[in-house]
Parts: sequence; structure tokens; C-alpha cells
Amino acid sequence: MLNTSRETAEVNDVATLSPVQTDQLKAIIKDIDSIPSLPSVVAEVHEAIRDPRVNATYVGKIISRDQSLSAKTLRLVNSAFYGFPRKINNITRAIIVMGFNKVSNLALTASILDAFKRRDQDFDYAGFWKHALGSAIAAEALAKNLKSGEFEDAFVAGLLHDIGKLVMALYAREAFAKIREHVQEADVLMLEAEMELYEIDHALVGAWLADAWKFPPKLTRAIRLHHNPEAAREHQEIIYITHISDILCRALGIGNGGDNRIPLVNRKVWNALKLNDAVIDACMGEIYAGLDKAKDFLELLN
Amino acid sequence: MRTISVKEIEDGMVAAAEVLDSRGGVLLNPGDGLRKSYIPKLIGWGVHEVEIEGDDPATDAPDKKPGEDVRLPREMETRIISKITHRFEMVGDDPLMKRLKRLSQKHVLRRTASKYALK
Repeated sequence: MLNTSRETAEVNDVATLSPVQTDQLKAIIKDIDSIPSLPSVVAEVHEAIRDPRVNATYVGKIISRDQSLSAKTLRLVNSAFYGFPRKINNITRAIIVMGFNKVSNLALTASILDAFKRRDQDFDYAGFWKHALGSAIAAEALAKNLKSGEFEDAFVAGLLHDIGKLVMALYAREAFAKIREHVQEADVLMLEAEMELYEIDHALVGAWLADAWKFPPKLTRAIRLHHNPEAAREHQEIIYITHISDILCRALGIGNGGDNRIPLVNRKVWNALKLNDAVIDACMGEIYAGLDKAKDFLELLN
Repeated sequence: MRTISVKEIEDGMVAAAEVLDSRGGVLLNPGDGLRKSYIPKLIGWGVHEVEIEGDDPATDAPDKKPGEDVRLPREMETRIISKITHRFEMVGDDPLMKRLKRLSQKHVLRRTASKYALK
């Protein structure tokens, strides 16, 4: 069962739901207690990698305790997307090759996939995950082209930025159906429809889940502020990269972002990242190249 | 209409779309003539590519990207452009969004063309 109290959100004030927002969340998610909790192994990994003295064997042992999770994580690690010449057979080896952050982010992704499996036939899961994967590749391409220190975490921030939509599709079905109907009829952004009908958006729902699941604070903030990056007071770079990566994928029409519109790019973010046409042009090319390599990764997401 | 690098500008070419500086200011309008002497100035303004009138005469250029030399059927191209135009409709007046639209149109058409060529 997830804790809806604000105590869970102390690490990240922007993800904290006000009492009004908590009521709004409970109004759309009737059975909030049915949302899966964070697997204990993932929580332990997040905790462990914050300790600079920890080593790969120790973290590998934690993940390997959950056989299903470690198998799923290794399937992601061994997808053609990462292109390792030889199969990586254990988590410790994966950590040595890819680093703590990448492997713990993949373990988190595997847990999310497990917890939020396809259930609603009306929801375009394939389109949702294609948009997510495209945004992840875009975020990584942006981080690389901008020589950003967020290179390791950009991928997972892009991948999970819209996780609130998945939570709503599975656990707020009635509200989500009305939102989608409004998007179709009024031809507006999903974000606008959410706010108009329920005064709560998928970014907040996603951040609430991220907070309850104890995602790293920068990831929680990237999810919370990807449509409102100007509000960022910390971890601006990864939030800005997530904001732009979502818009690049929408511009290219990759996957299904839930509507047929595109949000305005934030000029302050554009200037802060020192973006220009050459960087965007390169990133757009890399998004397509990345998607071509990531076919099996996408199948695992689905 | 085709996109060329600023360095490829020749006298007599005609801009097919607005040329914007890195802050979104309009430097040239569609229909404006281009001159070789503009190249250093445009680069100085942060412009790397321009869209010009006319088809690409060198369809067998060796450095072409996949799909760049494939011509999509007109109705397919029109459908793609109108979809992108619709997507950007509410924000199309913003200078940054204009640039994103131009770049995304280039990439989507090229991507579709490369897939079309494989059929």
C-alpha cells in the first residue's frame, strides 16, 4: 500500500502534494491502496548507491536477491540497444560495465514494468512506451551533445517522465477516459484537459508515485516539472533536458503522447541549455537511429 | 524546396522559408534572394542550414543521408506536412517553435522517404 501522507515527500518539496492536491488525487484514483508499493530491493539499491564506499558486488547481491527483478534487468542490459559484444550474465558484471546509476535505473524500470502491466485494452501501451523510449533516447542524445553531467540519468528521466499517465490509465480509468474524450473533442493537449477537468495533471500524479516509490530526487523533479521547468530550483539541467526531449519526440510524432498537439518550448530552458539548430538537428537524427537499435528494448517495455 | 548547409549557398538561390537567428529573430523571409557573401554573416548569427526553393539537382551525391534522395509521392508528403502543421498550429507563431517545426519536418520526411525506398 502506498503512503499518501506528505511525510513521504520531505525529500522533494515540489513533489509534495498539498492537502487540496491529495484530495484531487484521491478523487480520480478511487482505490489508491491498490497501487503497488516499491519493491524493497529497489529501495535498498537506491539507499546503497548513495554510499560512496559501496562496491559493485554488494549492490549486485542486493538486486540478485530478487531473481525475477535481476532477470528482467539483465534482459534490458542485454538488449541490442546497448550493443554489448558478449552477453552479460550477472548484475555485478553489469554494474562494472555500465555503472551503478545505469543499472539501478534499469532495475527501477524493470520494477515499474512489472508493477504497471498492461490491463486496459483501451490504452495505447505500445504508443505510450514508444513515446517514452523516444524521449529517453532524445534525453540521452541531448545530454551527450551538451556534454551534460546528467548523461547517466537522462535516459531514465525521459523514459519515466509520463509515468503519471500510466498510473491514471490503470488506476483512474473513469477520469482518464473523460480526459481522453475531452482531448479528442477539443483537440487540446492532454495536460490542458487534465487541468480543465480535474485540476491535477499527469506530471503531479507521476511525481507522487515517484516520491512514494522513493525515486532519486532529481528523477522525481524531472517527472514533476517536465511541463513547468521554470519552477525548478534544483537539478535544473535534467529537468530542462527532460522538457526538451518530450517536445522533440512530439515534434517528430514518435509514439503516442496522448494528444495531437505540442507544448511550447520554454525559452528560458532553450537559452540555459544553449541550444541551437545544429544540436536539435543532431539529436533528431540520433532519436531515429536510437529507435532503430532499440526494437527489442521496446518489446521488453511492452 | 530543399535544405542546404549555409556553406552551400550560391548567388541566385532563393530562401523557401524564414531564416531565423539563434534567438528566433527573422533574418530573411521566404522569397528573399541569397548571396554567397551572406555565408559568414549567417554563420555569425548562428544559422547552419537554410531552406531554398527548387529540387536537389545532385540526387546521387555521395554524402546523402538515407531517404534524402528519395522523392515521396506528393499526396504522402502533403499528408505528413499537414499532420505536422496541425501539431504546431497552436504554437506556430513562436520563433523557436517555427525552427523546431522546420527541423522536424525535414527529419520526418527524410525518415518516411528512407522507409518508402525500402518497400
